[in-house]
Amino acid sequence: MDLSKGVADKDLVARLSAGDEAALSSLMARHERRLYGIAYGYLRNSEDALEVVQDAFVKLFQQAGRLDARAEVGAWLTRVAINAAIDRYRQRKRRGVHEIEVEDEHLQDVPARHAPGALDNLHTEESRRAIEIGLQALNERQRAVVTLRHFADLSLDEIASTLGVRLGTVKSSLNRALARMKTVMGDVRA
Amino acid sequence: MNFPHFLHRRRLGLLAAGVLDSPEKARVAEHAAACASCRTELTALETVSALLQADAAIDRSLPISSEALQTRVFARLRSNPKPAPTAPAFGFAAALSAAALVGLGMLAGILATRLMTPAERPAGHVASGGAPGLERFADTAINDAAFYERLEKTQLRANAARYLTDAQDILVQVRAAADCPDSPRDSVDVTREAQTSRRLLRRRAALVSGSGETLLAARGVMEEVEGMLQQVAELPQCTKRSDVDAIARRVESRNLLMKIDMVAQELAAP
Repeated sequence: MDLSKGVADKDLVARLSAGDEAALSSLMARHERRLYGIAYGYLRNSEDALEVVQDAFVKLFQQAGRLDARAEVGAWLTRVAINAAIDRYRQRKRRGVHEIEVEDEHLQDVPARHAPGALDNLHTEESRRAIEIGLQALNERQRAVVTLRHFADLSLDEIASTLGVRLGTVKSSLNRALARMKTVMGDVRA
Repeated sequence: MNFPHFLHRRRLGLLAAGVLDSPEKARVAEHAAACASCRTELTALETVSALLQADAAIDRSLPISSEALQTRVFARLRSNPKPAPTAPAFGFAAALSAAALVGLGMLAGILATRLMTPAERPAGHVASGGAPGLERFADTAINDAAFYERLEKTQLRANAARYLTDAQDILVQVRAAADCPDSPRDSVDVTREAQTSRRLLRRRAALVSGSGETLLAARGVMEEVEGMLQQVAELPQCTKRSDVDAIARRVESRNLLMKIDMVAQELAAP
């Protein structure tokens, strides 16, 4: 049972910086799923995404004492996770894995967060493959912007702050990313 | 095609992604309604955006339990303890000053040695014609090499510990595999476990190659684990529950989970 219910993230970080491991467990329980969604959205590989989540929490423990007391730990973790995902993706490309190995998911076994509707029906195996290919056609920044917009539901301002770029850059990256995906996915689905 | 057309066309992706504020959204939507090519483009972009949203809405759970994730994170922290707090700016300046003093001292030493006659030079110093100070650099290089070798070994052991822990997760999870849909009764879906086992076997191959003697103590358990992972990796998507139970019994009869715990702890120990 999580005894930290009702305790603010900031208080947990303060306890963590004093070496309280239970505080890390509570923070993990709160943020692990969201971070995994972001990492998976970027990397499209569950094993790599899990590594990113682990890295983020190890880093949180190690740097808790240095976190700005005013900073939101959720935003900080998002930044760490997306940067770790970008690094991991880059490493794989450097090692000669030009395309991240895409996993076979059995979508019929995966429950959707919302009630089944037209959108769920849209999401066939074919469309999922098209998305993978569309994402592979993007550069790192475009991929990160798309991930943070669609998989973390961040606003453009939040994306700009997370990636440390200007708002205009986020807008143009998102616009170009969707246009590029449209072209590539259109070719695949044609 | 006029300037507003190009301006609005560059906003179609943002409109499709639902991130434009109200006044701009209205302007771009109004233009798209009146412009056939923009309307077509917008429809296509909206499809991409909808597909992304549908993909993001899939509830992808972590492939391991929260408890297993916590175990792994704490294991990593134990093998890689909290770094010392960063030195304040004053400390950095002091370190720089110290380094400068050491550098000056070394320079003075070299100059003094050069000014000495061969007879005055300390024993072991490189004779004239040799490169002064090379031995010291060689010593440093040897120390560095030893340091990196130790670091590499520690990293290798930590990776092996993580591999064993991941393998342990799979050997536990395979026992709890869910029923196979649309298939004969008493069969379970082990797709994920089989895929992960294949990946783990690849990781093992990478770990073992070139590990020398570093993983010698773990070799016995690693071989046993390899054998079990191979059995899981070869299971068909829908497997008879009795086959999975048989693997679980073999794991149990060898006390493999406990052995993994012990060896992983040993490997992760500093």
